[in-house]
Amino acid sequence: MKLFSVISPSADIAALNQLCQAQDAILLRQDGVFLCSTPNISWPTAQLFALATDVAVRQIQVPSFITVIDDTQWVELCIAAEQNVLWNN
Amino acid sequence: MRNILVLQQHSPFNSSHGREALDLALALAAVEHNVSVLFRGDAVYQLLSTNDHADFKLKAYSRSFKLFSLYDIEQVYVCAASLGERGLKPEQLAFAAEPLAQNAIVDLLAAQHQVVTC
Repeated sequence: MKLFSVISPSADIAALNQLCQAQDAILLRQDGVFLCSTPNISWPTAQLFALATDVAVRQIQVPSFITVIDDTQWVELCIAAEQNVLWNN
Repeated sequence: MRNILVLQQHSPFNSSHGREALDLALALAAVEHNVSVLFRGDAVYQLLSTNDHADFKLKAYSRSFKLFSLYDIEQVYVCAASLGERGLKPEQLAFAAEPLAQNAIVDLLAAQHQVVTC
């Protein structure tokens, strides 16, 4: 499993779709959590996470298909991933 | 006095662009320039409300947008298309910037002596 961390709302999701597979995970954090409420994004995996602190500060309504995780779960997710990829473009 | 447009294009917390653009707009207005502010692209997220959180140490500077009227900055606009692309409606904004269509933005730019992109 690869973990892609998306940290900006202007991240190139189309390019991410070429590298991310169904068994991989995507974590939205920093200003990347604004993508939770952006309509019509086609995500390449069902394993979608958003970081609780970043969501709370920005008052984001998180849809049910995205799992909100705390910092401890973030660490566990990083350990579970074979590769950690920061998607910062 | 010159017409100066501060063009905001960045999301609120990943960088200091938004905060610095706010400081610039207020400073220009303090020296009697006719300042307008336009939020477009990811900068529209700056206009949403924020919560305080113990684990988040950055200042929620967007609350200082209330200072615009104190500094006689009456022309605060948001790109309507940028809102639409992000699934946002004008009534969701914590600061009520006036939505502008693309042709109105072109007219706004044409009326300026200077445009500062932030």
